[in-house]
Amino acid sequence: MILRTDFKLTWIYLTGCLVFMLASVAYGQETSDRETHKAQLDAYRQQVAQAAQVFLDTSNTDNERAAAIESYGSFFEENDVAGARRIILNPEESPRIRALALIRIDNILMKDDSLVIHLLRWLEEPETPKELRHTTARVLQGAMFSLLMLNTLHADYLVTLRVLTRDMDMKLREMAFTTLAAKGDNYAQQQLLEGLESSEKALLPPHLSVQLLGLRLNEKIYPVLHDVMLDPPDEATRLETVRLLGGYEPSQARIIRYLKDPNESEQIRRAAMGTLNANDPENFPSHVLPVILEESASDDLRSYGIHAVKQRRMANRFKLLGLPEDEFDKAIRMLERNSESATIRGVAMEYIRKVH
Amino acid sequence: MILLPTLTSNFFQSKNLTRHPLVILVFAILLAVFAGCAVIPTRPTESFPLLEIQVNNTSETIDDYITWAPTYCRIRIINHNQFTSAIDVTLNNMNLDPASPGGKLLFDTVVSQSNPTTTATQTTLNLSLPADGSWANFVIAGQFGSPSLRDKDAVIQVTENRPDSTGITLSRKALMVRIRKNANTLTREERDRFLNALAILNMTFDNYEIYQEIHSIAFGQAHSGPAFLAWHRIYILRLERELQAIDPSVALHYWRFDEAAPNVFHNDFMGGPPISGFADFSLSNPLNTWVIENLSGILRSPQFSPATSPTTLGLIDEAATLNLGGTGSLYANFRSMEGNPHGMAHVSAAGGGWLGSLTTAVRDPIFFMLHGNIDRLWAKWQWTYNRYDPIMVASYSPQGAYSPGNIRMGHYLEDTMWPWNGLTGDPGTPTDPNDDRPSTAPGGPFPQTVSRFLSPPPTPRPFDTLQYESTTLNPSGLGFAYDDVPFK
Repeated sequence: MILRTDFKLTWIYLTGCLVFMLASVAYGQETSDRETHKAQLDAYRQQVAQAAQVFLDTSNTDNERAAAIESYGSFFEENDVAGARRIILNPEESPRIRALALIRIDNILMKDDSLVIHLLRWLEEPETPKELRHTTARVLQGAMFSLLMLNTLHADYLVTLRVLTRDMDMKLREMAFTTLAAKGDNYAQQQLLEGLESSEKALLPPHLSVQLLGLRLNEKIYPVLHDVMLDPPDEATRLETVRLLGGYEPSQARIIRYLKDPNESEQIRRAAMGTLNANDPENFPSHVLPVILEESASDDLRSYGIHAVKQRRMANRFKLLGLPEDEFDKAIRMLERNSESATIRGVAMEYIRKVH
Repeated sequence: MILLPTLTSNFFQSKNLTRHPLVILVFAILLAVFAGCAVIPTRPTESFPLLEIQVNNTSETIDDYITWAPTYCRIRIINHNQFTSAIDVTLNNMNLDPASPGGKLLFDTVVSQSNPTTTATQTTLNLSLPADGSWANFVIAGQFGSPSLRDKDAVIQVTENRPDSTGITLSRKALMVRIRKNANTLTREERDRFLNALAILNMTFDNYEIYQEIHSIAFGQAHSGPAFLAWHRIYILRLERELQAIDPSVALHYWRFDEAAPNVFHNDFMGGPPISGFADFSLSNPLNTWVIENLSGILRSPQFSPATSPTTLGLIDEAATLNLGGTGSLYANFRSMEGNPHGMAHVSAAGGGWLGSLTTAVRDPIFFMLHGNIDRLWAKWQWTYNRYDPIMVASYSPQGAYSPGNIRMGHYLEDTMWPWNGLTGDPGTPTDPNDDRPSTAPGGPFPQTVSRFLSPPPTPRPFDTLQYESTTLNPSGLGFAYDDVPFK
């Protein structure tokens, strides 16, 4: 066919061959990309296996063993996983090595209740070496987050956490309270509330206790936070209570007063703005307007107020169509022309541009 | 046309005007115009073809968004009554400079796409447009590695093929190669569009809060079981589509948690290092006024600095994750990634914050970027080991539909998933806890869209999540792709 004198057909034939070759190369390239990637993963797996052998070899020093697996987060081969498991359970091994082994096989906890039971036990025991204990806490926290959430041992995990709320190790105590409070655990919440009501019973710093109670608010928490807001042990704690009480009716008037008080700290006023925006969005523009007009207030504070209203009105612009400008809009227009602050004039201009 | 300059010259010579500067200038201008006219390709004005190009074979522009997967398109002559013969055209990418950023397209004929594992591969495509105005079909795809940076930056250009090679451009069609990207690499514009859409969703009557409500009671429906990946693929897809209803150029970008992400954990993006436990935002960042469930701000205290990643705390990296499938690369083993890296990412990023618990995690919008990466890892595992066929045990297990045992209802391949199936309470055997569901099913069925009708169906199953890419045999994929996961 190539020898035919018909130039047009020859040209078509050659073009077709070229296209076919290019397509083959493209397809072949795509296939080889996948095969290359698979080969890289296989090579990685082999590297991990080799490193695991060094780690599992107890004749090596701890430093040699740790260095061998430093770059590898997980073991894959069944023998290596089994070897690591033996190390974890071997009290003759150093805490450092046991911790390193644990981190590398944490995904087998899905199928290894026996190992989970061991982990829970030495997590509870203050005599467990700190490094191993902290790694165990972290591994269990990651596994219990969702993978083992329905495991029958999950209830045992919560019991262990409750024990840890009174542990001398503050990091573990804080971790335990955080996990329990986020679940709305009654025991943990009660401990935190009692600690706020009486400082002798406090197991955590009060500002942290308030923050953790804020993870799962309920009716019994609000009155305690209100009292703390009125008579706080320190300013950091008052700040945390203000953040949470914008929707609690007995507290609202006080929070609005904090917002409008030019002598109040900026942090408190800003927290007041945030909680009122979250809990009273309809009236928020009227709450925040005096602060926005207050030329002595910081640009950050005033800008925050304008941005907050802007965001909500931009999102709901269709509801504002055809409506006349309200007092807030008029005030922003006035600020855009007359504010002493260039920053506020700019923020006001952006509000007008985006909302109207 | 040739005579006119000659006559003009004779006239000026007779009037002794030939050396006047103004005359010379006018003459030069006239010459230039006539010379230019001579090379402009023209056709009789009564037969200039007007073309219509459709992406996804619809006239709608809201579905002019493609990925690396093949997308059916078609083109025709609108004013075909003026033509007696077909018009030969070449389709190519208007953005020809390989060095310039932005979306780039590839083309192919429909016939060459008979293999469902291939996508368009040609940089140009020749078509013959029928003179009777009927459609000529073709296929396009985004060129892997060249996603769009903004809406409509990928352009199909249609040029007429003329014997003298002086083809004129007959038509153009702008679209977007919309891809989920590594959030740490976004341009400022991409970042801001994403943030604005997210903030608008947050501020529009409970449109974001519904996601928090769903996830806070999902427990066994979405976790601690085989459907963990499938459930979250649908869950985050729903949010992505709501963001796209606000701004169609937005995709749900991912937080690559095994690498340092200083641009993500920045006060201009998802929040910088915390102040008093709360993520810090710049004043103009829309997330600065985030509100959720009567709370303001975002409670998050990452246990790593923006310059590092949770791998320093034991989170496993991508290579380790992709190897979790073990010998045979089985889904049953791969899904253990729910523990590490998934759980580890949550607790590492949370510190004492919302991300650290199932019931509060979605209050923090970075949840969706975290799960974007979880989904990307699953997609990459699928690509690496060719795990798209849902009826292969290696791709997904358990197969079939629920039967009493150790695995909860909703986790089998053929089970519909809560909440989209609307089922609540204990619909089955009272003594079987594995078929129980929450008492409510917020959010309703999965919303349908014009461009992706029935994909996924209103009550999706794990089955519907595996072949997430559209193919020529299954044109209605889920409509997303990742910047570093090629088409199958």
